[in-house]
Amino acid sequence: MSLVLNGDIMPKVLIIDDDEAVRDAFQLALEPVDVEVVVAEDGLTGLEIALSQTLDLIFLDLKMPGIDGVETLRRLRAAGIETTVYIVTAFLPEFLDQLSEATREGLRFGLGQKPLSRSQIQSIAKSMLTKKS
Amino acid sequence: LEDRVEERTRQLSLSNAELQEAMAELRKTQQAVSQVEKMAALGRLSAGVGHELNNPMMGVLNYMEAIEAKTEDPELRVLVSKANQALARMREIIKGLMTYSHASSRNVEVVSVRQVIDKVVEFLDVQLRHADVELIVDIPDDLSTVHMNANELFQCLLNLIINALDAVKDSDIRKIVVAASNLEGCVQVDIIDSGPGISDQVRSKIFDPFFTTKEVGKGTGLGLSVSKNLIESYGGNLTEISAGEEQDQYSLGGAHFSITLESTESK
Repeated sequence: MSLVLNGDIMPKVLIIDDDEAVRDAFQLALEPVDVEVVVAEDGLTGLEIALSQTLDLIFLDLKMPGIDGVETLRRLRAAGIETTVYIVTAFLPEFLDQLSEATREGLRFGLGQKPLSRSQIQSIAKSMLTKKS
Repeated sequence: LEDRVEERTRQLSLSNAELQEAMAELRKTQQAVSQVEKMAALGRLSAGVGHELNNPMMGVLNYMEAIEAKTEDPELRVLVSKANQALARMREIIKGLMTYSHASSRNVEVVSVRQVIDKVVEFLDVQLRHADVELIVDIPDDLSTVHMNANELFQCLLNLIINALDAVKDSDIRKIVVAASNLEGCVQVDIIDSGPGISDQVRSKIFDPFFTTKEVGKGTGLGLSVSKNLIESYGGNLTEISAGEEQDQYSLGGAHFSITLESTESK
């Protein structure tokens, strides 16, 4: 599996999730895909990374200590970061309400349901990165 | 005096009977309230447990799949594959638990059916493209709104479209139609697929809880029963339309499910 966005530069994917098992899941699934994976344990760390590096895709958790996923997305967009964001969450009504609010605010994002399998993670990354290129 | 005492006694015994009746009624109401509270608490608990389990579940699922991808050992591969099947079942059970629990905390609103359909389609976009399924969405511009909880309608449509997706996966023609229309004061949403359809033996059981034709680990058999209960709790209908009963322009030879909900404009 090979994805090249800008000449020979490897695409960079950021995983923002407070759960180690979920971060591992993304890292393991993306191993065979030619991408560089960076991880953050919370929204603020994710924001810092996004502000200091050029990213091609962000997988974002919704329920996190500190600032939650929607607030992280809001701050990313406010900072002018237009990287594709794919929100991964369990299906719970309160989160869908939050997401509806984010949509009303005009924040753009993709949406996936936890738990994601290896092939689902790979195909999401592939299709999101290919679409971008 | 005797007469007055007798009359008073009669009145007292009548009042006493009324009091007993009222007490029994009160006890019944208390029991019902406590049952509702118990169900709501159970709903919150199962939703919470389900949600918390999803993260470690995603970890374990991917740890196992990574082992499967990395190992050449055939014996280990068989064991991992069995573990994956068991995990897939756990995943479906958690999903079922979470779906059932949603019914306990509903917020009824005026819902744009079009927006919910769009959201479901967006949600399944990757899976649809991955399975190479052609999805046709046919919604008139003037489609009415309905009174429902948007998340519950989302869940019902998601269940039906996922079923359609599973049904067409192995077919030569992989096509799903989601068609909505205004019909006699109601909004009707049809989900039609080009899969193998529903056999006569299976037809009578499809809405039974825990009935599934999907392979072990792929379905809990809760999707259709949950969806039907939800739609009916709003006075609507979820029916399966047998081949030959279809009256619309879409007939793909597979299954056809139809949701009908009273439109807000008819109220």
